[in-house]
Amino acid sequence: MRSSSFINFAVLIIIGAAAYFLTLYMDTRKPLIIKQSKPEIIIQPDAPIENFKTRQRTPEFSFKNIDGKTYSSSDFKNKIIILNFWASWCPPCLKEFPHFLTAAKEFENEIVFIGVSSDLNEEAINKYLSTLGDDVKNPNIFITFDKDQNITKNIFQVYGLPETILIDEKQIMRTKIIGADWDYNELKSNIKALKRQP
Amino acid sequence: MRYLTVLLTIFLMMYGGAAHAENTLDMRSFKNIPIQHEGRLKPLDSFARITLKQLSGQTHINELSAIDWLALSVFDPQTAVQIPVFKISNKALQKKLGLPDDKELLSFNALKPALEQTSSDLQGLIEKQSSALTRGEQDLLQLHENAATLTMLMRSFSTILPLDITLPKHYRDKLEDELTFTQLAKIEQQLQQDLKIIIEQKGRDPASYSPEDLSIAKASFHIQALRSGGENNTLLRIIPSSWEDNKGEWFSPWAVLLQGEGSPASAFLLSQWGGLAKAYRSQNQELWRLTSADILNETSAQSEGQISVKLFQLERIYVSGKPYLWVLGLYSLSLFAAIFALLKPGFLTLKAPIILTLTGIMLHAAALAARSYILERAPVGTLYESILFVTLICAFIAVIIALRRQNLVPLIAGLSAAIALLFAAPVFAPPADSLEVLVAVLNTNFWLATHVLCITAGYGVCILAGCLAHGALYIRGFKDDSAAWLKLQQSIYHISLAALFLTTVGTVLGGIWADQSWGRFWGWDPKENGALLIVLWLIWAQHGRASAKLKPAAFTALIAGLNIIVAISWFGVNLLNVGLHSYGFTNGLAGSLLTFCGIETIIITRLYIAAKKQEAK
Repeated sequence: MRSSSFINFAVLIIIGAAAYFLTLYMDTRKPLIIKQSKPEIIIQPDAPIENFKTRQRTPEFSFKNIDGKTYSSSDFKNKIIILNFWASWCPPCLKEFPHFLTAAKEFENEIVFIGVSSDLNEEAINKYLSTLGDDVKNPNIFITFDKDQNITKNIFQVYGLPETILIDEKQIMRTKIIGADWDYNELKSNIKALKRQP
Repeated sequence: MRYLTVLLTIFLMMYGGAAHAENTLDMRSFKNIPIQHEGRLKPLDSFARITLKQLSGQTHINELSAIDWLALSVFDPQTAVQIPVFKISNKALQKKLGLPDDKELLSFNALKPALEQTSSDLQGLIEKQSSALTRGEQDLLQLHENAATLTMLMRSFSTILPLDITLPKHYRDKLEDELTFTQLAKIEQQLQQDLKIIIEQKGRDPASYSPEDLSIAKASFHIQALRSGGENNTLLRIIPSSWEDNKGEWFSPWAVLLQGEGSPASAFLLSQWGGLAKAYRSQNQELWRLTSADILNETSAQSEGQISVKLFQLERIYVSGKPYLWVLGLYSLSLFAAIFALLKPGFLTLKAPIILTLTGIMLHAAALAARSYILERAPVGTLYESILFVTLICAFIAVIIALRRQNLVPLIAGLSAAIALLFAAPVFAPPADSLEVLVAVLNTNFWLATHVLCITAGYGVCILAGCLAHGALYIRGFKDDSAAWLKLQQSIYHISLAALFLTTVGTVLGGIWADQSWGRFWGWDPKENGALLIVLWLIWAQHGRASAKLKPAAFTALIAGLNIIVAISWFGVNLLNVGLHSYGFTNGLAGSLLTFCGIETIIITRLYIAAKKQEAK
């Protein structure tokens, strides 16, 4: 009986070994190296999910208007903000720019237009603005020279011009318009949609 | 029972040492960072494994795990190009390209001359119809595709990685110390204007430029080159869209910048990635650990419920744990134990193989459940998945019958089928990622899940009946054990009835699904015909048995032949590459299927003749 047990045990070992080599054969992994133990790290699995509206809250930024006065985005609470990134050397920007001025005039009490320019200097901006006449002088129109590109690239990560962000009255960024391939009616309907936001 | 413990101990010893060295950086958070790839969100670790396997056929490169390799490729491209990662199995192509044939894998640098040499042929090959391409041409195209994949990976963070350029002081004052694309882009207009003035004054010949002029020209060239290189770089989709228009879509760092996807949220996330790149390049363990955890949390928050880190952890366990290898091992041990117990009844009881099988079944079911949970669909959408499911059914029904009848033969039959199919399963698995997103029509509704589950369960029961019938014919023909023969007859009869029920219901449910998805109940599609063939075959056998027109040996032989019918319906249809079900087309299967059918026919005929002789006595 003892020798029979031994033989049976040997058979089991052979079976195990066969299965082991079979799995090794099927396993494409290469080295077998002892894993080092690591200190436990704190991961927050399924981190609390913030509301989309909170995530898209416009970060506060300040800017120097072309007239020399400094403003903060929070100065325009309860207004719809059209935040336009543009430059006078960018032809599509110049194509859409007058539409914003028209919108600023039509919705004078409800919207604020902030044009953030990536021009090389203020002279270029003024030169272009002078071609627009009085339209650009509305009190709800603000133009700023983003000299160090802080607003354009650091805060809003805009790397192509033109881009326009529509911000609602609660300072939530709602829509981004990329390029100038749109007409005034589309802008109007976007503004009206923002006004209807709960 | 003590032998069972021994068996399990041996089994666990097999896997005890199969751990891998890890980089000195803690990759645990990094592994779980989500990425959108091939239509679904997955952990970065899965993406790394899939990509590395696509390139090298392996999930490790020597001591580098897939995730280590990915981190190296995206954060340290200069080193990554020296890592041997490309596998060329086609020896003729290797020779033609003048590549060394003594190395299993080649680095990007080693491959570069060959890629340049053949780049002019590429357009012609791309325009050719895929069926007209020779094996060598297909492999060459694949090689270029793999090289393009690695190039894209290595350029993924060229937006934030430091550039090896110096700028005149008046530019540097406006920028941070470390020059990156995102920094350079801030002075892009200024650089272009200054370069224009230089060209106007000194012409286009750099020989006439001052060192300052040259640095301006070089920076301007760099920025253009980086931009054009990033234009189509959409591989590393790690940033969720912030804008409602593109909600659910994820973007690569380059796509965020160049496609207007940027936002304060993406700017913050990309700045975190910049920090991670710094931590990697300086091998700062603490900074790496904290920043990777921050990125994981931030991405999770920005994705707004699209991902679950727990699910990702499950996916990592599923992919790295190789559960089906364990299942195969357990079933194999169980089969050997069952054969041993059958041959040496006093030595091993029924319990040992049953418990081993049950352990395997539990692991098998858990793996399939995990798969289903990860993919959020029933795990029977592809040929590979149907094999995994059918083998579970085979083992499960076999163990139930073995327990009810206190007979090991059904268990041996079921396990043999399960092992054979599991062994063949990797052939049908997609090359890199077996966690596939289905083609749209298959990823639809309730009827798909019920129909396919029912029909594949039917396949499993058919195969079990077929294998048991083989055993029964053998016992009848060569052992002349009447008692065992009668017992097995009963089992085969009941199992084949269950098979008939499942395949019939499954076929009808399939019709309902087809009606909803394709607008018709039945279209004589090859797959539909195959399912019908199984049903008709079973009805023929049952009617023959019930009317006593078929003697027990003939009935059993017909049930044994079910294996052939199922193989044709299950795998054969996919060979035809016609009809609405031919989504799982597999090359090179025809020979194997024909061989199987031929051998099965010979075996069944031989067994039937022997059993019939005994029946005549």
